Amino acid sequence: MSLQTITCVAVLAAVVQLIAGDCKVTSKTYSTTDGLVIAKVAHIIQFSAQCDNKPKGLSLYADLNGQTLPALRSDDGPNGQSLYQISWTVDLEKASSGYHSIPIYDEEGFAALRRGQRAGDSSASKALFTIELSHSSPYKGPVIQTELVATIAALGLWWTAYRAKSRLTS
Amino acid sequence: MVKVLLISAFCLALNVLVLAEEEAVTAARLLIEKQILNKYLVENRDIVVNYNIFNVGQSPAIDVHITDNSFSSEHFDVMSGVLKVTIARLGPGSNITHTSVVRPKAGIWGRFNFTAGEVTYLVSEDSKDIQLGYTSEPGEGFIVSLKEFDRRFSPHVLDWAAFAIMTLPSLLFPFLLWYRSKSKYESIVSSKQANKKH
Repeated sequence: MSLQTITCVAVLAAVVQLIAGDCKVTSKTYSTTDGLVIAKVAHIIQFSAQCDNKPKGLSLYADLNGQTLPALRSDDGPNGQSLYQISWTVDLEKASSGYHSIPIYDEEGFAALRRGQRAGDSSASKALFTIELSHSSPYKGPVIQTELVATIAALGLWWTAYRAKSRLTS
Repeated sequence: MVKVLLISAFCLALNVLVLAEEEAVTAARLLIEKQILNKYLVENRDIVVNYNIFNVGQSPAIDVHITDNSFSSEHFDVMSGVLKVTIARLGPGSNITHTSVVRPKAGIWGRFNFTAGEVTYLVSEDSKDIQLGYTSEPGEGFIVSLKEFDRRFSPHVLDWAAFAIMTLPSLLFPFLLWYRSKSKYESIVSSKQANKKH
């Protein structure tokens, strides 16, 4: 039951309202934390962005530590607005708790970013907005196995009795 | 005359065939690998579904729609991610990854066949024909019930506590007997010593 509460607590359904620049962004993040069952940890960010001076079906790109993540679109939004999704997976052994601040660019901004990176100057491009994701490390089981605790307790009990007995008979 | 006509017809047919083949090679071709990234499939626990989309053709694929209807809403909850995505343009030789997380509802366990999703796209920028394809199929898996999974993997704290309580009588009873006789003996010895001093 405690595992369920851990998973519930770790689900970051943070509906963040950001007003960055001209864009109104609502985002929802999810990271899998059930390390007993999954082979790779998945991080998923779903967001919808409404930018004032940009068209509606815009292509957006995210830059995650040098890795390009194009935002995929789905039209399942409640008001007919486009939802975008960014997702990536991490190996379970390498997964740990973390915090990511992910800048989102449109096409021109992203092209400018890549050009700037090739030229060695990565401050040329400005992101449309930034999405934050913080996640806890996956649950891989209790820190100490309960069988180990039981064995240590039993051995400790035996040792106390043995010492008392040897003190009596010495 | 007839021979010449026949030969020219044959050459024309060959040309058309070669041209058609060339067109097929330069069209976009999407290969989609659908993977289930789980060690165990457990009732009411996350299942990570990953789609790797590769464009192995030489044209960009336009207006790609990927739909996965294999997780029906009466058996699965979508925890995050969407099962219907659109990619406006996927360049030749490039790839995209899409992940979503589903969870079998409580009471849903047993054999489950993970079938393929569907994809439609236009094979080049000026093409009007919609190409229909399928993702790969992960195949059949067995969703283990939560009871079975807990039996193997939970820390069993309550079970160990019950065991400790059950072993307590057989430890406590001899200890109390010994402690009572020890304290009685010690009080006798100390009272004797007190008497000797006087």
